[in-house]
Amino acid sequence: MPNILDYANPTRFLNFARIALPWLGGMSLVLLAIGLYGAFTAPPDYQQGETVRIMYIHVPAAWLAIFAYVVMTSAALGVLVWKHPLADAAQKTAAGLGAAFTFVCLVTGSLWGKPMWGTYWVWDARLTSMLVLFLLYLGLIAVRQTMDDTPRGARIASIMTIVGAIDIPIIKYSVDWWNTLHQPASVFRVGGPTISASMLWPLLVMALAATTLFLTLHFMAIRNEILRRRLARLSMQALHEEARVEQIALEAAP
Amino acid sequence: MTEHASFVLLAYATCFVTIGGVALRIALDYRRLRNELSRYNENLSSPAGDDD
Repeated sequence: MPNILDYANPTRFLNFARIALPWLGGMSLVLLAIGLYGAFTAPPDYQQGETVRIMYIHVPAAWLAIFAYVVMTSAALGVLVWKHPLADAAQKTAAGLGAAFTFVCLVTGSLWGKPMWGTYWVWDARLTSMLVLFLLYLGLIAVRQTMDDTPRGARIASIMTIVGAIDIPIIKYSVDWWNTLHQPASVFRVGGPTISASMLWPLLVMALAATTLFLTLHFMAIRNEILRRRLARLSMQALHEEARVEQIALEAAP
Repeated sequence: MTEHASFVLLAYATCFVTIGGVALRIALDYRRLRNELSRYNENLSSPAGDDD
């Protein structure tokens, strides 16, 4: 019986990704098509009108921005506890994807805020904590770029990731802890969702599409990272071999 | 679509351009890495003394 940890090996992961990626990619496209159909055929909101359609991309982007950070934090634990190269690749590659989803969340939220609140931005607890998440992602990308693929770079990025995880509960509960302009949770809340079923199903399908898309892109990015490291190792071996041949030639020369 | 259509369209465009851009970058990176790796493998499998 194969264990999930068996896949925590770069070669096995590459084999797994080769089989899983076409399915995940196909599933993302199908779910995205159904979700978009639902998003544009769902009734307009009685107060917000057509602008409510921004919700179908804004909310999944926000969930994925947080999900990517949770993935990164789990991978960071894998780096610190087991020093696992696959955990390192997963942690490194999730940062770019998380930053992209956070950026989409911030921009679409801003575009939703202007017609509804009369402003693109307010220093509200939810918006500010989301901006902090975006800056955390950028900081982690910068750390990875400056420290290359050294174990020290991986360790520093992992510690930073775990420290930054404090922002996740702050984002989630910011609308309960402070008086914010941002509305409170309306899907995952005690007492069930407050959204009409006709709007809820496209939202959930879009969230599922975003999740499968994230997994597809993350697996693809991890695969790239494994290949990049293989390439770096091969070029290092080639350099050593070249140096060895030169040394032999020098020694053989009269 | 009504008066706020431009906000809705801009939001969807931002989403598709950003996520699509990331996907394209990852796909192009994969192609480049695979080409470089196959070049290395060709060099390794070619007989010694082939280098210019």
